[in-house]
Amino acid sequence: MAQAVSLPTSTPIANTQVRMADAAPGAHTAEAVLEACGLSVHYGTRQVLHEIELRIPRGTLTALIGPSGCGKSTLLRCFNRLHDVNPGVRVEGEIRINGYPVSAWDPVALRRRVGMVFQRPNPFPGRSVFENIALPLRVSGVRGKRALAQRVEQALQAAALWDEVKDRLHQPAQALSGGQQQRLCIARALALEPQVLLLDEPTSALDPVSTQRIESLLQELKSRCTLILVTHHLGQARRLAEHTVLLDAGRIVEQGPTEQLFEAPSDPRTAAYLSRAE
Amino acid sequence: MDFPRLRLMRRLRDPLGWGISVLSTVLVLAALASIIGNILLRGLASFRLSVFWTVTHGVAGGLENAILGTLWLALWSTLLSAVPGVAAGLYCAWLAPPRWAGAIRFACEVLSGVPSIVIGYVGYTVLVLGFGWGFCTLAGAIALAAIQLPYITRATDAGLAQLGTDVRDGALAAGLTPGQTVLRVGLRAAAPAVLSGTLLAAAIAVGETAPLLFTAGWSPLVPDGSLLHHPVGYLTYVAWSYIEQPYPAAHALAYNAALLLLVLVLVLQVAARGLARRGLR
Repeated sequence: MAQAVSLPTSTPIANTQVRMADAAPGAHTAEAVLEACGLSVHYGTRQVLHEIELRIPRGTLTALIGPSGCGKSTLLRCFNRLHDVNPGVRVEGEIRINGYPVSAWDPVALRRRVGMVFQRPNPFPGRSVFENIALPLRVSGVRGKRALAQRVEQALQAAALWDEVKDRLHQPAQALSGGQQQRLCIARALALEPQVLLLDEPTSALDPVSTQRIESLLQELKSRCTLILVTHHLGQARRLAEHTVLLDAGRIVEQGPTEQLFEAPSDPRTAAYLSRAE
Repeated sequence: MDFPRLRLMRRLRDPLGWGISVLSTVLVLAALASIIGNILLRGLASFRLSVFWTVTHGVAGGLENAILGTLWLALWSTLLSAVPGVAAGLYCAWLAPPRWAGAIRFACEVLSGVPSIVIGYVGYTVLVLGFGWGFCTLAGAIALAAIQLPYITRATDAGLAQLGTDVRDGALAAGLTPGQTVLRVGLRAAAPAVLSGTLLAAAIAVGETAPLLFTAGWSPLVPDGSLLHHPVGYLTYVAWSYIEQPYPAAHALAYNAALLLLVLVLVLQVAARGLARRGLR
């Protein structure tokens, strides 16, 4: 992947202050927000993703499924260039967001538009609930106590956490329950008003009640941004996703509308995987 | 297989193992208790409060110059070692490619394995003679900083390793630059471990004698704030040198110095442990 360069600020994707309305799903329902062309990833000499061709429609939830170690999380980390911090990883091919190659983007600006939530809740240790959300806002240029407080409240409300934490905003984030911490991490990502939200098995470390809450939240978030969810739970993919992509051994086996992929898979390997996994 | 013999061996091995462990523990604790007891008994028996405001003269007097000199040296050595030590630890844990991180950790092990007298001699040839600084605070502080540096680097590295890379990735994914990730998230979260490591390193530094003999020299005067060309007094010199004098007053001063060192190291260790525990919570 080419070295990072900043796009001129007049281009829509380089402007981190672009409003969410720009990414509203209604206007471009069929349009792809994210495309991968000939994407390959190598960990040292080992190739883990092979020539991935992918198209993520705007304003939908796309599930990435497949057996453990098939490259789902590796693929997800290509979308926000999180592999850049690991010098042992080599990424080839092209990813475009709104038609612009992410390789030409400043990685920090990119990550403010393409948020990410991880498998285990990872709030910033030693910081309060408020500060966990305010810090990314502050470093991205949001100034003023009132503006910050407003954006923090909006993010917590969007993550369905406001009512539970509004009286303890200045208490340590790590005092929250696991499910609340994960919703805080979702709020932290939403605070920057991303166009795309990457979710790497966000419920795998949570109990069923917390999982249920996060699933309901993801349903609501579809109207705000495009979601890409890595999951091991086929039921979760089926409940939440409009589109599903099945990966195996670093290659896409099949991708398409979720119902079609689950009910009438076109590839025998998909049918075999679904029957094994279910 | 001869089962009765096997059973007998098992029956013997277990108490033998326990016996060796208990004996070893008793030996270690007895040695420690003997050292501390001896210093406490002799140090307290001859202790006078006037050591705090009287300077050393001849083979008697007080320890004001040595106490202030020790603190002055420890302050500068900690200032000189903390910044590069913490920076190297942060880089090692979260930013460095694995090969670089390995090289830094190896360098730390090597540096912490260098005998302190060798560090003192290098300081003597390079700083005292080479740069023409003479015996002085800065030369002593640099020699002590070389001893403290690997401890601080390893404490910072370990503090961040405890957080794992999940927190780092979370900060980067939230649009923080690598610098902001390390300083505003990593350093803040690892602060108790970093402070604890820095205090432990300071405790080790205040107990050093050999590197200071070659770099700081000795002075019966209270430090005047100058960093170059003026030797400085320190407690370990009194403990090391005055015990060999054939005078009871000199012995008393040596035990007083040892007692004060013990208290200083204890305070630093307790503070460091308190901070480390706070970090674990």
